[in-house]
Amino acid sequence: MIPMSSRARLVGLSGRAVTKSTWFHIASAIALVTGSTDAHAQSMDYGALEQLFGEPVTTSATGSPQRASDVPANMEIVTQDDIRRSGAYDIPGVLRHVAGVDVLQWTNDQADVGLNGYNQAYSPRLLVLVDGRQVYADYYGYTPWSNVPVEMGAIRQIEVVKGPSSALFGFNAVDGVINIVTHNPQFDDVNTVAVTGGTQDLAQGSAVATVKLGDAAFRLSGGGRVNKDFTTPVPPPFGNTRRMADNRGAVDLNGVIRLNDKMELGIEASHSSTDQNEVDPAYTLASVKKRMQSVKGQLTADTGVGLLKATAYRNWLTADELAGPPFGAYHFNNQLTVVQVEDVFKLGADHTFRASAEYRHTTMNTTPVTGADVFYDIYSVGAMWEWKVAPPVSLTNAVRADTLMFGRTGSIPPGYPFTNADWNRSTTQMSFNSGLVWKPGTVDTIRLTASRGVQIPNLIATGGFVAITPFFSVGGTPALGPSVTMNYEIGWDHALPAINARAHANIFHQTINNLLSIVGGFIPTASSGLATPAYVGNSRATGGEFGVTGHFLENWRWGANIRYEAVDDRLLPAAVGGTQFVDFQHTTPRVLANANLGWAHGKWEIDGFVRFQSRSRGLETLLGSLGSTRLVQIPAYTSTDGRIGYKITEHVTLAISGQNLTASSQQQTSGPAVERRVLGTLTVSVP
Amino acid sequence: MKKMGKVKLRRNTRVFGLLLPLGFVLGSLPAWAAATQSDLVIAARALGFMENGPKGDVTVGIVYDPTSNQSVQDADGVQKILSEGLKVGNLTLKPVMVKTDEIAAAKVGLFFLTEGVGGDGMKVAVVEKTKHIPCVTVDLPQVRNGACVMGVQSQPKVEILVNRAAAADSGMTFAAVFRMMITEF
Repeated sequence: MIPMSSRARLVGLSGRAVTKSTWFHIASAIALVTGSTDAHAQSMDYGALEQLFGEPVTTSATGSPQRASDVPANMEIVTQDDIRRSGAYDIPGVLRHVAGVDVLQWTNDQADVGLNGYNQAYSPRLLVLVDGRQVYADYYGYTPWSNVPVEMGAIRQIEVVKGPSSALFGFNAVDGVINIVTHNPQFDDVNTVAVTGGTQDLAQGSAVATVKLGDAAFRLSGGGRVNKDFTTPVPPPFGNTRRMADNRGAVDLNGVIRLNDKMELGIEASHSSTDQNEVDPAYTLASVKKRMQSVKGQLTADTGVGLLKATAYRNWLTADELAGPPFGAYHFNNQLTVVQVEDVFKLGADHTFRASAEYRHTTMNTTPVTGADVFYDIYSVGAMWEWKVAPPVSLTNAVRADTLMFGRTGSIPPGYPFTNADWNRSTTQMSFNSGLVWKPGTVDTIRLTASRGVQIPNLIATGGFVAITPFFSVGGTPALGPSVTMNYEIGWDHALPAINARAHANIFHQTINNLLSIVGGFIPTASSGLATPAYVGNSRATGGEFGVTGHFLENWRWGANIRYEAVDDRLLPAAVGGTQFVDFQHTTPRVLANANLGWAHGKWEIDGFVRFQSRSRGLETLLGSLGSTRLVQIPAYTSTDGRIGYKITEHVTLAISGQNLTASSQQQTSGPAVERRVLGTLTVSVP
Repeated sequence: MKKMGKVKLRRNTRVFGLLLPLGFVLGSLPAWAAATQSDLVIAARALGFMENGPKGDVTVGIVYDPTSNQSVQDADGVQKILSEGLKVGNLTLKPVMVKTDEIAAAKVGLFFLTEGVGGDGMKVAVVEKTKHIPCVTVDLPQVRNGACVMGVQSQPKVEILVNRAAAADSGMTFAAVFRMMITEF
């Protein structure tokens, strides 16, 4: 366990603080692993287990390995077949076909993804991971999807867990978690090259190569993309920033080194670079240049005391945002260091446990007024217990305690009404997930779940953003606490063997206290006063989801799903009507529906997707006001995507795909309308 | 009389109430049929998660009782499936028929216990324990009584059953990941 009391500091590689005792305990954990003698297998071979059980497998629901049909959560697993046949060139493009997933496509390359509503610009409520490593960016508290350093060809599956998962993944997994699982070079020999061209002057190249060197296996993947943004008019409230060309580059090295029959070391290093237009949390269109790097090491062993895993990683992010006046340009520099240890073990025939501990440190500079850093440290312990009560019944309970400590170092600019000591505060938050899974027969599964998730304000809101002018000032505040989401669900899966299909239904109710607005607070100062982020109310939502997927006539597959959700915000009077950047009651569409039909035979694959979103509203800044928004209508829309793939040879495939095919442009957000996209992709796989 | 009738009715209702969920549970247990190719493929894949499990070309001893029609039919079916050598991953299964009174002398790398062997199945357990030769079956009661370490079924859903005591007696261990995804008892 990592002690929570010790704050003795040691300067690490980056010059950032890591506690001495933390390193001691990590070393102890590694020594424990390397000293074990009776281990055998190590990491999870997703492919072999999927073949064995005839369905995808996952660890994202409870932390222990499970079959998709056994998880105590409302979960969707998007397989590599689904990804290929979606025809999408990025991950949000794949996710928009998944039941209950909200996507706000702001620009050609920027989208925000939400689960069960509550989506917004720079959506903070969904935690996104790649092989367990956070790619959620703490500075704004959102996921920069284009910077996720993963090529589509390197993805094994995308796991979408709906509902709070803080008890497993910690803060910010309040609406759910998306874990992108890549191919394991030890087990999956993936070698592909893909080139894509299309509308918006798109040119993209992507390659994945796997190399095995004795007991080590490596996967190197990389890609680059250039294209132009949409040319549809930018609504005046989104500013007059000139749209630049979008481009993306990414490279990722992933290796697994078998140290002995009992243990393996995983390594990962990545770099991604994007220049693109984005709608930021102030609902302003900005040109953003972002660079992200990461390094990760993971030691895994299957020992007599369970599956032991020790993980350490570090993420670096820099972002330069060119926004409109009055502040001009922001430079963000955010680093995240995470150290995790966990043990998953089975006691007897019916009890599986997971014990975990985690330390994380995340920091950013202040901007546009520089000269200081804001940061927080989190110490966590967690436990999960899965009990197979009887053959058809299992009960899973997970609990986690996170102690969060804020901090600030550096200078205080004149007019900023705080001292660094104001950041010396801490809070301890509990999260839990409970799930009962009952299989009353061979065709039915019933799930009852309850969970508590905790979201913390991002670094920008807690002081990373500081802009001081003689007339008015805007800045973060150390006074913000966490926001809590409670979620209750009943789910039912029902196999329909007569028509080779499976249906699922889900009803949920959730409450959220403390909806964060980027404005809403005001602190009088000697000059003009400081506008700060503030909590502006609470919210609750009730909804249901129903879907069916199936196959027929051997070569056909189909699916249809619908989500209905009613959100009831309880906003402070000053925030009613969407005036303060938050109004989920009106911005969450009541109805979201998807349907797909696909056919595959011989060399051909043909797939079509239809998505319907009911009329809703979006937010835009109130012209002439920097600190206020208003609601605008977004008409109901139906969009159509499709793909036709043809195998020219066994290893060469040509595909034509498109998004939003039925209209040259379509209003899907309060921002610029999206345009039709048509792509051609040539993929060569090397056996 | 009327009161007693009511009490009896209430008792019957209670008994029915208790039996109903039991019936539900029992009703959910599958009826076991003769082994199919899918069952054998599942068994072979599952053996891949056994520490020091069989690898390469493996001779499968199909254990049958010549006096049981069910067992003979099941054995014939399995032999037919394996006759050309069933390749699954790095494992190739080749058959040899083994009567229940030949188990101790059989030179095989794996036992497959057919349905209908009955109490003679425990002879496999003895060899499993002494020679560390694993046994698989689709006859799940044979796993529960300790004759076989592992039982599999592929329909309507893949289920794998492992007898922990039998596995421990035979010195057989499975990957932890695998153990967490199957049914042990």
